[in-house]
Amino acid sequence: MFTLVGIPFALGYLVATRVLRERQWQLCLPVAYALALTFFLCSVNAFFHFFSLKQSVWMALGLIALVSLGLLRLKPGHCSTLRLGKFEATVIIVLAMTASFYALFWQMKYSDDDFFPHAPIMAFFLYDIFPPRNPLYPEFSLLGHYGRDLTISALSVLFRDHFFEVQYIVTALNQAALVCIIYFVSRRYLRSSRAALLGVVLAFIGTMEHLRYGLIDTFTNNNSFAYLFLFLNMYLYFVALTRRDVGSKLVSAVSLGTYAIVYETHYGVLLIAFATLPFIVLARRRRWRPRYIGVAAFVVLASLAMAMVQGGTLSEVAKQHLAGVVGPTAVAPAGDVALAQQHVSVRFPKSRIAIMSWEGTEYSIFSSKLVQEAGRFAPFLPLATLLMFVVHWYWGVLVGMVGMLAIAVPASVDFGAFNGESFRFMFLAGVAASVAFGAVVGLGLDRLAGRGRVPLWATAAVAGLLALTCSHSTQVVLRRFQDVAKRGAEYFWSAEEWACNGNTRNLCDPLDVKAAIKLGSQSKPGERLLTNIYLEEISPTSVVHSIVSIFSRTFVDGHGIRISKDRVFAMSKEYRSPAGFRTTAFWNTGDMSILRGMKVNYLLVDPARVSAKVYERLRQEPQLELLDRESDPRSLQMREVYRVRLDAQSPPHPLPPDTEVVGADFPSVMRPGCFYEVPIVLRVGGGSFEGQIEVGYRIFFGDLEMNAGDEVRHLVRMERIGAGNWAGKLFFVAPYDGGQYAVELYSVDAGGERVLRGRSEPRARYRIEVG
Amino acid sequence: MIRPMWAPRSEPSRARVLVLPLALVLLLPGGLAFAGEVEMTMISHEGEAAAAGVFYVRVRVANHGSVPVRPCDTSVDEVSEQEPCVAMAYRKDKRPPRLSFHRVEALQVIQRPILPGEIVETSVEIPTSRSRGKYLVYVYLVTGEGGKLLWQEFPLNLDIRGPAPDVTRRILVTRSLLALYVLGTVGMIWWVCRTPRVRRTR
Repeated sequence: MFTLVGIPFALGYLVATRVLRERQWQLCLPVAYALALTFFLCSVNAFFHFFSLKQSVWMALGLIALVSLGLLRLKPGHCSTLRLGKFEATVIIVLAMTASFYALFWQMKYSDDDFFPHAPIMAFFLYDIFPPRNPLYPEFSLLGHYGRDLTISALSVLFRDHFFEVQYIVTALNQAALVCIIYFVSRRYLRSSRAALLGVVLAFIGTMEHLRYGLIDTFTNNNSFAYLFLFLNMYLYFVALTRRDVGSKLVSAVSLGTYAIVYETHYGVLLIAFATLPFIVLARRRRWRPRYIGVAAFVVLASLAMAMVQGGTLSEVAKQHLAGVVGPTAVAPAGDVALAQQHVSVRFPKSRIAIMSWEGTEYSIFSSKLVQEAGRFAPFLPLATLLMFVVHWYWGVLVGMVGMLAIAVPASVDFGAFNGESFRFMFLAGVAASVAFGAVVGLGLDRLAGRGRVPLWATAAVAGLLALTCSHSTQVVLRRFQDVAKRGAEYFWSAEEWACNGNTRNLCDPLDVKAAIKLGSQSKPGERLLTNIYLEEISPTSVVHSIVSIFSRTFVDGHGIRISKDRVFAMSKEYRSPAGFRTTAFWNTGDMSILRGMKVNYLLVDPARVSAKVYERLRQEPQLELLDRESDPRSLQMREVYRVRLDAQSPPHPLPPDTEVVGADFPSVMRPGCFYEVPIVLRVGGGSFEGQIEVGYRIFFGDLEMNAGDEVRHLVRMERIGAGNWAGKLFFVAPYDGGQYAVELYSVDAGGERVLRGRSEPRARYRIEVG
Repeated sequence: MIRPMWAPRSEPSRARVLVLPLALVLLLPGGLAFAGEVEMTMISHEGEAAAAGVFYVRVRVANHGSVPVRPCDTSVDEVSEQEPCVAMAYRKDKRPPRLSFHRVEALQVIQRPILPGEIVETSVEIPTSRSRGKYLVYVYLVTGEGGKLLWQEFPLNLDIRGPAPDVTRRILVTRSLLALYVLGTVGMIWWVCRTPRVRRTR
């Protein structure tokens, strides 16, 4: 079945040779590969809205085969070889192979940078859960860029659903294709091998030394697709501008439209750059060519039209604003929740022209921080672009414009809670600046060389520049290959072997995977699981829970959202918590009434992580059915899987109207995120009271509700302690961060929620301190 | 498989000197008891293991105090006066110059607080070296009480066999891919260089 993967690649090749009339095979092959991925994604995405993934893949392959047959009727172009110098060929071969194998080996060790959410999203696509949902917060849709995950999942249908292995190979191939596309396209449109070579080398290994080095280590998550398609679209746009046919415009528009579900931020930058470029060209040439504007308008508008209907963020925005359909993100949520939902609000212009850094601080576009975040070549962008403009190198102008827009957009557009994600734009600016700077240096070398050789001092200067900018990244890459040679056992080809082994061994136990695989044979895709296997930090926890999700086909539920008290959201600031309030309360008590609001179908229990009392309670609980027990006599580890079957229970009778909370004995200072049993005393006046009450509470910091959507509600069995007075225990989980808070108690009965009265106060409200 | 720590196969002289008093303490009634509220005892450890794998050390933690015992924060060498804690650490081949979490590989013993009166038995895994042979591993049981950390040292002798079959297969696959990278790159460069150069196009 895997041989069918040749169908999209045949289409890509036919389009490259017969529609785009690409003659150089060195460029034709990577373009054909990238086009194949684009068309495959585009068609699978179109069908997936109506059919299962497997059906969508077959239909997409059928459609692609039909189109390919149609293209066979077109006259084939002549294939030729671009002769390369030995030095440039050697550099390109080494760079492409190294980028490719570096990506392959890195993934074999770590799988992915953001293993959460990408790996579970890919797994859930295979279980036909579409549009994607947030794997840690299944009640939220994830509307943003899912193109890469869908491409890999769809391709893995042809490889027995082995999506990890498909991801490793496709990402590695993307890196090699990206080297070739950047180099050969730059070389064609800049007409200089030196400019193209320096551009691609700097973009890959010399861009920056903050968080990343360059494209060489920016292949994880969506990045290999984002940058491959970015340069592919720029190339297609140039072909569309220069060729006088309809096909190249259509290909450019479809490819650009598809890019909207791969990476919206870069898509937006390309839209503006593509729309602007014809005017710059016309201004420089001082000749009015309406065709350029027509082509640009067609490509931009057609892609935008496609982006508005194909799914993803832009389609959701279009639904809300044009069709008036109220979608899941119609109401702007609080910033933290917006991050979980990927809800982006857009406001232009920003109140202050500034960029939010990775750490959450704002800086001016003239600050030295820009050099740190956008790379060392970013300050040269305006000058480099101007030089390109002067010498009529429009490819360089486009690259430079993309870079400048990547700085201007986050500086001037307010993306709400996503302002902190501006590093995505900054890295794009860094890559574009590297290509443009390399082009300028190459131009300088060409001028110095004239028809002869480059002077020795200039060669030495370029060598010095490369040594300064590329030495660290080269060392990192060499160390990786050294590690591969030395520690081959730490590189896994099979996902089942990698999970909870290798670098994830200290996060979870192979028994977790074993239990999850067994559960996966019984669960229905999309059911929910609660587990007590979580760590202090959310990042490793999200990896563990993603592994459990993938193999058990369930969403691991019960995570918390840390509401930011200062309302600052940054890429480096964590808004998620490994265990929500209800999860913490449940694993400290085993009280099934807490699970009522959680829609949990299964429990995965590590008995060593709960107290003996709670474990015994879970074992005896009639609402839990033991499905599986895995144990390892060597490690003494044990895992149990229970199915949750909550009894239909009628809510307690309404409390008598004059019930009030006489006292709640909160500890004077509580530890953040810790569980407490807080004694409470109710005074119940007239009316009947059976001693059972369902209590919940809200925690406030000022006006901010800190446990919104995760309020612990549970049944409290009260004991009479005197005339009209009843005592019981409230399961209280302290907020995640230190500070002073207010707690408001309410009861839940058949009539709904009712705020409890305090002693001679309309609301039972208490001040607590968390330190 | 699990070998009691007081029955080592062939201890080096320095290790023997250390093990003897510790073994004597262990043989005392109540195991390795301390005047403090938290007690951690090594019950046994494996004497041999596969290379590039793990071996297990079985420990018992008892909380005789009135407050829960928590996992120690191994990022610092400090402990709260009020809350006792436990941790484990190890170092291969060489004893650390001083006892500090920064000089050893720290390990978590417990995943949750141990309540007063509770006794927990657990196995802690320690990674083995990549090649076979006899190794000495210094294992430390660390208890924190009253603002101080108490380190107990256990030099363990370990016989490392060859790697497990799945590990051997992984190494083979990885090295094959590495060979493909090297040979592929060299081969392509060779092919480019041997192709007669016509004329560079501009």
